Amino acid sequence: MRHSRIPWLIWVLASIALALFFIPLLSLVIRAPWSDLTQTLSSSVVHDALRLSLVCSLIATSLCIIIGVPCAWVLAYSSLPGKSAFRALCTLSMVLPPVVSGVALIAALGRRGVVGQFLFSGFGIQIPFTIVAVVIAETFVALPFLILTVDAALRQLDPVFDESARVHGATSWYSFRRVILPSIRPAVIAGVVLAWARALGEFGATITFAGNLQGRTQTVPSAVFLALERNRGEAIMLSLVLVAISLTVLVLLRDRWVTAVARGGSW
Amino acid sequence: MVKLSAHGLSHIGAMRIAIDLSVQSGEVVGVVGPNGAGKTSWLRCIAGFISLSSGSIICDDAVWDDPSASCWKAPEQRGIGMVFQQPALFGHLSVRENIAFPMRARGKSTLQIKERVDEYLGRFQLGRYAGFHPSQLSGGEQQRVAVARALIGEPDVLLLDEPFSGIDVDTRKTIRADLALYFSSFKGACVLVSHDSHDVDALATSRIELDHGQLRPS
Repeated sequence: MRHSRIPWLIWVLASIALALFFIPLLSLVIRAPWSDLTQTLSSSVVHDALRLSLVCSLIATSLCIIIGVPCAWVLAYSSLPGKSAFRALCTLSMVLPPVVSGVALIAALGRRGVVGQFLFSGFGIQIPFTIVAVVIAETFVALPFLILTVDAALRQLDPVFDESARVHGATSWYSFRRVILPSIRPAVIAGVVLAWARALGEFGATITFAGNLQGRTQTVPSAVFLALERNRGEAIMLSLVLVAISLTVLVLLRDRWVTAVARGGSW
Repeated sequence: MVKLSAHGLSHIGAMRIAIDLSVQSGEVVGVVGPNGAGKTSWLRCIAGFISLSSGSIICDDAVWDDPSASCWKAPEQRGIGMVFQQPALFGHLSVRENIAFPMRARGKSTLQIKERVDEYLGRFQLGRYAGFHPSQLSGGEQQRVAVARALIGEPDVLLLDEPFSGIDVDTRKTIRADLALYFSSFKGACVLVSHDSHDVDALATSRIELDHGQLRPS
């Protein structure tokens, strides 16, 4: 048996790691006020937060696809100087504390921000503390996940497929749509799902840049944060909703897509 | 009647590739040389994946590449069919869709595509594999699909880059015989690259020898 060769100390440390994941999640289930389930889930706070979370995360993910895939294409295939610096910037925004992202967004798009001052003085547009701010904050934190996943898959794809398409009459756009993108489809799907999951769970940047106003900017994570102060049971139930959604994402990602990305993003 | 002439120099890293080629309809020019001689670079220059540093590539009256006149045509505008060292078939498409690709990319009508693809599936004995994906085919079958895809657009120029690479001896003989048959009805000009002079002797009407990017007297 393979496991008999693993030293006992490794077993102990691995068990601690597993317990660290498992016990808090199990505690959520144990401590959840199941008798209040219907009442909690039917409250307007939960409805509003869920609706806003789903709508904003889906819009943010769509934006990530629209601007992230072309960005990955440029990163992977262009001879743009400073590409590696841009890649590093993407990685940096992935590891940046979310609250810092929120502060950066205020500095850029706030009423007195670098860009925001012109939007406000020129067009009367004010972004912070609106649903637009929620979408921008979620896009900001989710975008690197999509760009880096797609960029890695594109760089690992043999250029001969693009060349083969081009020499047989395909423009670079046709080749990208009909050959390159379908060839890295698992990586694109994995990137989209990761970006969506990140957008859905986003809290720090959103609460800093968009606030926490029920029905306007309050997403599920923000509602959990507020509920912890006044009704712990509601906070636990809302957390379980997020766990259920994350679990669904994991189930969608399992096997083929995750394996395909690990293999290099092609079929 | 097609006439392709390519003369000039190209630089790939530190390597200098001298190109001197003239081929017309009905001819098959074989380019031979050891690995790293620059044979594939010749084809890549003609296909438009590498630009010339000096000289020109002209097909009939159309200038494909001429740095002195800042003239360059993209690969998709050159009217080329190409068989790569590896079949380079699109894994997400069926055999039928792979063969149809050049016609679809050039915007031909669905009816035209269907008729021509059916004809080529029959001609290349691929009818029973029409719905298969490339991963379900043997190396030899994949190469037949690659040749069918290269020819279906009725290109002016056909480029073959080591078409027998990675194929076992028996299949190699079959594909060589198949290619000889296809060449007999091919109306364009053809350039065949191989490190094996037997392939070139069997298929080419003339040959060019390359070594370290330079022409070698044959």
